[in-house]
Amino acid sequence: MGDNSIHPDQKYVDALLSNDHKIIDEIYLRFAPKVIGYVKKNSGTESQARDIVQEGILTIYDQAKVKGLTLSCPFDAYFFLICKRKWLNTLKKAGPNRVTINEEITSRDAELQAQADQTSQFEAQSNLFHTKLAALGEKCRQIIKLSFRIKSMEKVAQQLGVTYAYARKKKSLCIGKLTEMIQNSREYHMLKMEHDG
Amino acid sequence: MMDEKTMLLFDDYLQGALSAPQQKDLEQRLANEPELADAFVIFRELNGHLSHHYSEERASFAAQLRLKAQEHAPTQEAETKKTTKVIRLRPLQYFVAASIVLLFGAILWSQLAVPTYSDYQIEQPISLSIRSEGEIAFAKAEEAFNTGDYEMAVLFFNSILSNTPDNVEVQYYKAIALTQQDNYEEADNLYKALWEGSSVYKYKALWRHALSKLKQKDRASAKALLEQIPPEAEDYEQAQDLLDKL
Repeated sequence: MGDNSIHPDQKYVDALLSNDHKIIDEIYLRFAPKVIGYVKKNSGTESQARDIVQEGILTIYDQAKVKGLTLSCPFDAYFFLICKRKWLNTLKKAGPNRVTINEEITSRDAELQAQADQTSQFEAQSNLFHTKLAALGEKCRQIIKLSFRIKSMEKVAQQLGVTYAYARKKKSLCIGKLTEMIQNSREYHMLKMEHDG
Repeated sequence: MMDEKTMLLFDDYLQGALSAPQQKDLEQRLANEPELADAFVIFRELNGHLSHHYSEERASFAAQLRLKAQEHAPTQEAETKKTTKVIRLRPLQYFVAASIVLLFGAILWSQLAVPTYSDYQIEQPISLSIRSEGEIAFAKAEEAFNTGDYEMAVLFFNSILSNTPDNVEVQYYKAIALTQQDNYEEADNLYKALWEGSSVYKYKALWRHALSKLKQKDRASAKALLEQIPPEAEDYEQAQDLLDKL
């Protein structure tokens, strides 16, 4: 992004990061109605719309935690755009002929688009990681999940009834295997091209 | 292809467990081998990503978000609540009811006046918020629970809990599903663990535990549990109401 000045709405991201639950209320009151209106206008139900809002908030939280998120545009427009993209993806998955989309003219604001693109990339990467994790052998999946959940490898080893050294080695090898699966996937190369391009 | 030794090196590097020469050596390789450098980036990002995804902090945020989403959801919930309320009798009906009661005795009276477990509906449909992508157990559990197939729901809850034993949301709904099947001992143990903990389900578990006792006709225990629900709890008013009637 060209201009890296932080938008005052960064406060929303920061509040999510510090688990300030009051900010969720504010997002629901101030920004969710627009998203809900949009989804409902475009073949969605109230409950689908609410799922999109919830996922939108969780995605922002995840990205901010994992990669950091510096807002350079208003939260309102950013939140709306990522929720809108989520909904369009949902519609796409449901089949191209099943719905009609009332495409609105979106903001041409380059900052905003770039910000939302970053989030879309983060989501795509996250989806890729989890899809490949799900395709990993059961033993590997188990040790990866346990070690990230429990954090202490001593406890993981105890729970699995193996030695600490074995558990650590196995975990590294399993993440290595997952790395390979990701690196060899078509999705990864597409993401990389998008990122580099 | 990455060999095993390299995978272990990557992990040691991230843990800061390499000696200075080993570290320098790896960095040299990364600078010269673009494929390996790519793999290292993925390896490092996977670690950061999964470590956040499975953290307790995220689970608690997602649970909180789920609760907030319910609070902000429109009427549907309010409407179900309305229909689950105990039917209130008008004065004339009270008189008639009282006359009948006089005929049938005090036991019948207590049954009419005191709400029973079935007067308090379970919030449905449930939608589990802390879920790992690709795990169909979550969808299956929701479906079974929402259609009232509590036996199947417990099976899927168990499968989720075998992977994520700390998922308090799933523990909470599993306890409700067990209560529905009259499997009180296990249900009550789960409720107790939840209200003794500090998750967002603390007070909800207390309320549901009291209802479980009500279902078991153990009013004394139900009262003792209800008395512990503090004013800031979502179910405080219902709890006080039920307490009065008990």
